[in-house]
Amino acid sequence: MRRLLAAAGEGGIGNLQDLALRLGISPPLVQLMLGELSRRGYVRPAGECAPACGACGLQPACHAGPERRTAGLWVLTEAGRRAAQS
Amino acid sequence: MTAALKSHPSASPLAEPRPLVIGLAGQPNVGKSTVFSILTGLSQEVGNWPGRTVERRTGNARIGGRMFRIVDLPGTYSLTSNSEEERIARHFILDERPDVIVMLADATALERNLYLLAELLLLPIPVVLGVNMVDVARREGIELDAHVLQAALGLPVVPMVASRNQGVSELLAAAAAVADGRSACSPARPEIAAGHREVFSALKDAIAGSQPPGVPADWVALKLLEGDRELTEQAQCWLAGAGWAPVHELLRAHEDAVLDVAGARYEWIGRMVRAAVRRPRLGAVSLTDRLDRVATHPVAGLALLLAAFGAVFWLTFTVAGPVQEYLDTRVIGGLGSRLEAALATAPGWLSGLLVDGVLAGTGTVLTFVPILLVFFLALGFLEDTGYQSRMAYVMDRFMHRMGLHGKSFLPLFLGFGCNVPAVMGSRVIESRPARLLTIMLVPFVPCSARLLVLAFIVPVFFPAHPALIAWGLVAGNLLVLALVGLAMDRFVFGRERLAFIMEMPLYHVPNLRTIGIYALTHVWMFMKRAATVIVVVSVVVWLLVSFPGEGVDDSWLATAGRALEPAGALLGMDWRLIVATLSAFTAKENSIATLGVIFSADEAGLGSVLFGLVTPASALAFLVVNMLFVPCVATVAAIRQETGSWRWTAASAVLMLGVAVGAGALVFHVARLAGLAA
Repeated sequence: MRRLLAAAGEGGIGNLQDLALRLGISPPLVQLMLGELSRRGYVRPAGECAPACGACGLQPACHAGPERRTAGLWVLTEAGRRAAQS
Repeated sequence: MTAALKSHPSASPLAEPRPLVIGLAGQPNVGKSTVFSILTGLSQEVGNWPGRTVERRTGNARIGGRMFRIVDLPGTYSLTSNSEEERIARHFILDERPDVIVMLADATALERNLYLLAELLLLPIPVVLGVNMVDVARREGIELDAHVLQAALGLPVVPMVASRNQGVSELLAAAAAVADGRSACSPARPEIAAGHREVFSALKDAIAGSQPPGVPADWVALKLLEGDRELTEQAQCWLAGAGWAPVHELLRAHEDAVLDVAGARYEWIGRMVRAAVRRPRLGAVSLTDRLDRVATHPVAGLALLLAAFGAVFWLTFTVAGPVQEYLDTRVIGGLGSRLEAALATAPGWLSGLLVDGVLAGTGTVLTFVPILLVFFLALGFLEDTGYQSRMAYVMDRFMHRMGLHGKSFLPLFLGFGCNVPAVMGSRVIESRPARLLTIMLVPFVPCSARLLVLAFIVPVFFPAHPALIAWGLVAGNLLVLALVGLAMDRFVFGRERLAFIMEMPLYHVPNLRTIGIYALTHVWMFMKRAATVIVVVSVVVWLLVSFPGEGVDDSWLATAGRALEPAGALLGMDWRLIVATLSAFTAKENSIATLGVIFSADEAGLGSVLFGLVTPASALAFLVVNMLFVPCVATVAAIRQETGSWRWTAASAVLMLGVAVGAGALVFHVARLAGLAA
């Protein structure tokens, strides 16, 4: 998990598939780790206003709504950035 | 019964004719209930776990003359104390001490399932693993080598298809063999990563002997390092007094130890799966990989992105352009003449209001519905194939190389649709400077409304090459976004890095219904706006150009617009273009409605009128300013809400205005030098 944070912490946007390849693990395992890191407060889902999507007037114009075939996105939190640098 | 079990922890069925107690563990939806029903049949007893509302199911099974007592544990993903189910499962294992834990895993998602196994192996009960749904996994091309997995894990592994009652009795036989000592169970447990191994040892020493009998100190130490709330509270009681202080100090100083505890489990899972599971190389994932080699390539991806934008505009103008022209010249123009004739006896102001105001403004805008439809069909196609996510990715990688580390990603990811959710999305960024920079950049992303306006206005000024001009404007807009971001990152905000992890969606064969709904929803939203805001603006603009009545050039609007002409001269824009630009603040489409009213397009159509009156250099400057001008009201409101500051809201507006005027002036003068001012 530290290696994942360190790889992501280089800045910019890390593609999950590329990160898995770099770390020598499978993409499903990276997904699991992201879930764990999210529960622990090291990453946070971004681009999601859920569960408010249903009532949101901007939904037709939004790329992050639940019905969209867009990417899952996480952002490193302050704790995640510290851990990435340690 | 629990007390009786606890009084016979050695559990040798040969010595005592008592049933072998099996705890059936597993994550939800792995087929646990099926296995439990097959094994226990009609002997099931259903009640609640003591003091809990969670259902407890137990039952008996007799296989090969041997009695088993099966306890179905609640489905859990791990054994932390996050949920009641997880607490029940671990209390049962530690308090009631079953002879064997049988854990069921889903062969199609082995990685996810092995996390629970990694936790079970830390407890002092032997474990047998049943890998269910191997038939489904095989159909998906996943090959599991159970022998290799058994050797790697150091415990019995039984492949099974519970729905067809395959492998269930073998699973129970394996459990009996482990309980009898006939089968080896010396599991390869995950260990804490090296970074916190010494801390783990120190913690274990500090708590050793204080925990209740039967609860391993290793497990308690790991759970404390993980921040397990229940264990932390219990440890405070066990170490009451001076014993807790050093433990607490150790935990406080190593809050990040969870990364090494859980991280080691994931490394362990990765090793096990690599050893025993083979995945398909072909299929949807590899197709996505192959496509992404081009779509996310630093150079080819950027070229593809620009080509995609070019194709959208080319398609829009080629297919819908002639229809729009027909509607503008024949339908609206003809309708205007007929309406004027019908209102020949009506008061002049009423005829003017309806023909030169409402019809010239709203009607002109409505002629663009075909352009709108084709444009959104093309955008919907890009989105439904899964390509749109790659657009933001490729752009951000480009900006990352330029030094703008991640700051532009959120605006690009969300802002292509609409700037408002992109501004709101910035709240996930904890650092205020990085959040402010992100908010400042959002309005520079060409949102779909702005792209739409581009699709509107470009053919009016440049009927010969609309796709090329529109494409150039989008490329220029993205370049401005990069340059503004870099300048602000360097000179206003700290050069802080933002990091995102993105899971690209698989490419899909686009669904025509989804694309149709996407396009029609946007067209409908636009029509509603045309029927409200644009009608009002058209009427207001008509009033302002019709009074005091000496002609358009002497109207109130002309007087006000001329006051701004010194600034407009820099951009080659006369008062009419300035007023059209300002009217876009309420809704971007208003600029074209305003042009329609001011120029009072006759049957020749607005395009022909403007083509003769506005030079290409001025038209280009007008388009650049409209692309970069102050964002719409909703975006400004969102900026105010998210920054919590009128100063930053004003700063955003001033920045955009400054950049718009600067870029517009640059384009105008370059175009003039290129001979486009005639």
